[in-house]
Amino acid sequence: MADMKALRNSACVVGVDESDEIGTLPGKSQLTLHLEAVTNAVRDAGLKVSDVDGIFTAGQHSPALLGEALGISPRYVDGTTVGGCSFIIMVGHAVAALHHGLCDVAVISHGESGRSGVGVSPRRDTSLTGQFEAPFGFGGAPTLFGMITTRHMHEYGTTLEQWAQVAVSTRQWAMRNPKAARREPITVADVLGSRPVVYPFNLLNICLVTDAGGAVVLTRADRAKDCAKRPVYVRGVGEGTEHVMLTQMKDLTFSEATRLAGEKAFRMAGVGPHDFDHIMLYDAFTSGPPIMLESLGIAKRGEGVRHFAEGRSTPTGAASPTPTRGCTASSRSSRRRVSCAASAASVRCRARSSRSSTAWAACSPPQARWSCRASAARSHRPALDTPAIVCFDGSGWSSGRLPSAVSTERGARASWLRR
Amino acid sequence: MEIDRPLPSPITPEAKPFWDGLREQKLLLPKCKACGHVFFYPRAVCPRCSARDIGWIQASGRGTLHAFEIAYQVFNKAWKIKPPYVLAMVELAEGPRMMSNLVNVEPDPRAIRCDMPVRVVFSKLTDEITLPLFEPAR
Repeated sequence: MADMKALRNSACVVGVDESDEIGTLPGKSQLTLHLEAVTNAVRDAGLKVSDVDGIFTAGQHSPALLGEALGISPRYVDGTTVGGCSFIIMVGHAVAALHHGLCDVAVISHGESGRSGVGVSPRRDTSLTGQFEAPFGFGGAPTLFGMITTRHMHEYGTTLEQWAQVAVSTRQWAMRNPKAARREPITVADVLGSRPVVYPFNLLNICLVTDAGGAVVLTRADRAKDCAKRPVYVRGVGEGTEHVMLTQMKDLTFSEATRLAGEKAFRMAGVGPHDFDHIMLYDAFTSGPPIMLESLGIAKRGEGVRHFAEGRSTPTGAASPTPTRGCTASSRSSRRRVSCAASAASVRCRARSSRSSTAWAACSPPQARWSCRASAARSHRPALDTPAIVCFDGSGWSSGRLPSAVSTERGARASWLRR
Repeated sequence: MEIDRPLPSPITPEAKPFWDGLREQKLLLPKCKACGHVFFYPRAVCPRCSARDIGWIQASGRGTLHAFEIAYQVFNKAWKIKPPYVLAMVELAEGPRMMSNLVNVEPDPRAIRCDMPVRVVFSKLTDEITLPLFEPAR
């Protein structure tokens, strides 16, 4: 069987950027957000749009449309759409395509007018959600993530206070990020006292939705030296899928998709789940990061929340109860976008539907330090199943030259959260 | 009677026996004739053995509340029922899980617990559509 290890460090992220603005942007269509992100990221790499010959995108706009709008004819496209992790899955797909010469410069783009809905097709129920969920009042991610969460509470005794601590911790990262949507500190009491949306979630347990675009440029390692900035080598990638309809998830408290993604990424990168100094998990819902830690094997089943207890996962709380090297489980989500700029890991991708997972790791050898982040399920369907782990080398990070994150979800509250 | 929730739509051919059964107050589930696996949602191929010979059985209507949520707001424009209401994932005695609502219960987390026994109640919406809802079983 072919071994993905052969692709380790074969390709690099050489450019990353966002749309010109992020937030609430009623004056920009979804397509514009894509185009701004792509042109900015290509410029960041020191390349021209005409150098791009591979386009990767998911969602409502096809890679063919992006090529057309950009005025190029890509010789390789990928439109794999499996939810919010699609874009991070595409990092792996791009690595493989570059390795095999299917393209030389790959751009992964995500644009989403998630908040304002400009230039967005009306979302339509599929035959499954329309028959088996909508008639009972389900609609949107909060009504699916909550199921996972109440089941976890039942099986492991996890408490509302423990979930709230995840929001408190991640907010402390957001306070350091000038582009974060919410930068005021919050307490567990604030989370528990915020408006109830759908038990077990209050408003501060739930992610925000934003208008934004983000793009990443990758090329083969041998070409990276021609780019503007120090490349970030992709050391490991992984993906997996388990379910689309939440009822089909084998175990609500464990994401098989996440496990598969992590296992593959760790193997390709030649590391284990406890070899990380820094872990970034997408915190669409406060139960997401702890359950992802459990599914990745970084925390024991039911113990993921311990990583967030007593400020352990805040910028100043170094420790993790697992034998990692000072693991910091942080998240950078829409609502409180964290340190991504610093960690190129920001190839964030937003999500829509959960069910799949992807993980990737990057490093500039010799690896000095790791940063890893999981971008998960921003689902519109269930959730945990879409996490992605992104592992980056810290040498790029410490150089301070890495571009800002690719984020698409800062900003305000999701439409479903408006009163 | 005014319809107070979204009607199931579109009803697909493979799920039609399910909806037809509900009209007669029967909860029908697909069962693989090859391996005996009972599953839900209805589909053309058995998810366990890939056989295509799928029949139907009448479920007992009993199960447990696998997970739940209490909605304090509306998540769907067509939903006219005043919150709070209980969203439920039910694990049927025959094995499969389905989404539904838990009714005839106080919408309070102190009154609801995972794994509590539930039973089906049929809620007629129109001449065509009856929904399977669930209530606590004593």
